[in-house]
Amino acid sequence: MSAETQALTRFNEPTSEMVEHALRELDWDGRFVGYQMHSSAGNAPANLYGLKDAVVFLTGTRWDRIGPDNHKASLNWVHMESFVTWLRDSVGDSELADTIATEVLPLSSYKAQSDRITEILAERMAQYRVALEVEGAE
Amino acid sequence: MAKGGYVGKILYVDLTTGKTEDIPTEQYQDWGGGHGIGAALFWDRVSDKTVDGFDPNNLVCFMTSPMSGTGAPSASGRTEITGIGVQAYPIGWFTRSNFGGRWSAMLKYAGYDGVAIQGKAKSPVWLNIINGKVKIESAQDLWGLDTHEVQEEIWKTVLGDLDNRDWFDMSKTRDGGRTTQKPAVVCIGPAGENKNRNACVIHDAGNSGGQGGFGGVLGAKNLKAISVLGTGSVPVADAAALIAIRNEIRNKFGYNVDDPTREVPVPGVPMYGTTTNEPGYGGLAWIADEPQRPQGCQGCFKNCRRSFASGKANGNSCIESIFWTQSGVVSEQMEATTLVDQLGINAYDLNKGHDYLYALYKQGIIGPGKQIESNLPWEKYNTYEFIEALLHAIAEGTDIGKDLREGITRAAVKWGRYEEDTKSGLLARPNWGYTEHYDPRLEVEWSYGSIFGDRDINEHGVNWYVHWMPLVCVVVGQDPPMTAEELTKHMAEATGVGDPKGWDYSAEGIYADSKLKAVAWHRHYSRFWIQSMLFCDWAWPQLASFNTEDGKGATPDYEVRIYKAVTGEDLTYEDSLEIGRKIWNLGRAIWTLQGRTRDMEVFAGYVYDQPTSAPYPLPIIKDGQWVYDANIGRTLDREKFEDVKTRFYTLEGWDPKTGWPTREGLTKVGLGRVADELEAAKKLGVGAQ
Repeated sequence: MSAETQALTRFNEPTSEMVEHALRELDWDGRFVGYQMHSSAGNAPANLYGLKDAVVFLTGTRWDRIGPDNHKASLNWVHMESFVTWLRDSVGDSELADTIATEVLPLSSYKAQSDRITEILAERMAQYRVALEVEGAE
Repeated sequence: MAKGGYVGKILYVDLTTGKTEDIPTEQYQDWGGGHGIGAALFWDRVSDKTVDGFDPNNLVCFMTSPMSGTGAPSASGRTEITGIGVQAYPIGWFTRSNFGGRWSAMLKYAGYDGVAIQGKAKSPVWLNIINGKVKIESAQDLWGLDTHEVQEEIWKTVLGDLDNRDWFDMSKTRDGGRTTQKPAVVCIGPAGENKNRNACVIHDAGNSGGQGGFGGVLGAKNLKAISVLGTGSVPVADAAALIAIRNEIRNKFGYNVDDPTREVPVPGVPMYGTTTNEPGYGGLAWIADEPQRPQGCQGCFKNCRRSFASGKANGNSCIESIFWTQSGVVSEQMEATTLVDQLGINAYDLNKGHDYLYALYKQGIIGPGKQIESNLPWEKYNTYEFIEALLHAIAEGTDIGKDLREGITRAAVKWGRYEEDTKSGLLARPNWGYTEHYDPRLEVEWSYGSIFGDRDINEHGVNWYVHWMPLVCVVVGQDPPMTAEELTKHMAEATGVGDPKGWDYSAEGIYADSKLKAVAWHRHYSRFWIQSMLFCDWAWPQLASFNTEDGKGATPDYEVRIYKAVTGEDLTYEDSLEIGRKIWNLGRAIWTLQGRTRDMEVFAGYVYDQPTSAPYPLPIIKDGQWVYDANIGRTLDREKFEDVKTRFYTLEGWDPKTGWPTREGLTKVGLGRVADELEAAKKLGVGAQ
């Protein structure tokens, strides 16, 4: 990542080891349970077995594709405080957890929270892609 | 007798003998159409009501309504399927399914109000119906084709090498009729051929009749497809009035694209379309990065679906849509949805089902060498490769698919996991083995209606107002366009229930007598207007409006006005509900003969034992005030629900001890002969003591 781009992010540059750890698939007991609300299919809990699943759930796209035009056609809800704790304790990205706690939790509507968390995840995943030298990364 | 709406005859086909018969529709007009006529035909022509769904004697009806093909708004394009189903657990109840598109209209243009099928063909066949002429054609060359392939083959067979832009002349005579339409085909895929219990029927790209397992039922009859092509028309008693009503509804309650009353307040919230009624719903089901346009069933003024340039996932808006979200790649989701349509699998059995299967994998229960042996690529769960392998396994009965073709509920029973997993909620199947749709602990018209009936009711007409409207507003941080007090007042007036407390979803309100009256109204309204007149449940009833100043919706005035314009008959709203009650009671009688008892009408354990954990906005009375509440931490109380059963049975005229219909209750709705048959079977209820 260029110094210029790095300067635009609040996050420290992660190591590849840290990113691999954060993107690992968690076991059954380590999962986070979100809630998906869809008009035709109805509402249901959704098991998220790691950060990859969480990114898809919250942004509608994969961690290595996340960008400004992400869409999802369902309302995917997480209990934000619990989600922050899970990111910190189970996923292992405390910087990401702290940023969400600081910038997302105070927002009043879930739509505003969802939009902000997408921006934050996009920023962090861009660093992840660089750390793992994923095609298309800077 | 009706002056319009019906075309006069119902086609009866005995596949065992190859003989056909025209049944005068007039004999069954008292049942309205759709489900009512389908149930009445079943009652009259199937002597043993305990027949298995796969048995040749099972009678399956594809019924239209007087509205079909007339341009009645959001009521012209749906088809009702009835018969003994194979999906419900533990008993495949007499049940229903429904699909949209243009099939029902085309059937009427071809001269029939419905098709009733009994028997089993010796070898695979398809029905070819063109302008009142019926041929039973060999389907030997079609067996094995997917649902899209078989429709294309039938189009070629019927139309020849006709260019899509040319007219098709029926008889090459001046008045023989001609059309630019392709035949409307409803068909099964490989899953249906293999008699899967989770097999559906498919019409055009993505119109699916999923619930009940009717794809497997047709497979057992060796019936691959029913193709219809017609150039006739449907008599309408007062066509000018119908068009005027249609325009009035669109202008008054619909979404004005030039000057909308209410717009999505912030971009990126497609669900808001359930409130605004905008065409295509702003990406309700799919938000794909490719050219697309709104698309709807014939005659609809809402057009909730989309057609895409890629041709993938076209017309998928109902419950089979948004399949396979785990991918995170929309093109893969659309590919998976297309495949599930092509194989003819009821996606709803799987939509939350594959998540359950993966949970078992993660717990070390499913997989190579595990308790439930499977060599599918589970480690690639989030990839299209996995879902493709799973779908083919189910359709073809290979690997774990040999169990899953029985449906996920029956597979869980076979694996010895059903009790544990439905108690914990890991397998969320609250009633009759059907997937949880809306929360059975909270939105109780849905759950009570389902457990007292035959399947997940899948009727959104109340759900849009009480749940989705406040939910979407809460999510975007907006005050709802209508307070809970205003909304419930409108609903009480529109339905005729009269008491706003019928829509109080508080921990007390869901057991109250007023709630039970609302549940009963919902069953009666739906059985007549939704399932027999075939008004779409995504558009009807219209219990309130967020596009009008007074907040009043189209119900109940417009339903009866539309009925009058089409049929020429005066029908009061109250009388329509009584016909609905009659149809509902006939179903109850069939279920009773099939083995239904009061003690079977209980929900899965998690409904009583596991509290809700996510916000679920619904109107409630709290400290004497109407509010929209999040309703977290709620369960259904076993004892209180047992009391609900006693009071609901009594309200419906059923025996509170057994849940069976009584002679008094049946006679009131003109079903004395049904009481006679129940009495002969020693299954007639005795009424409240």
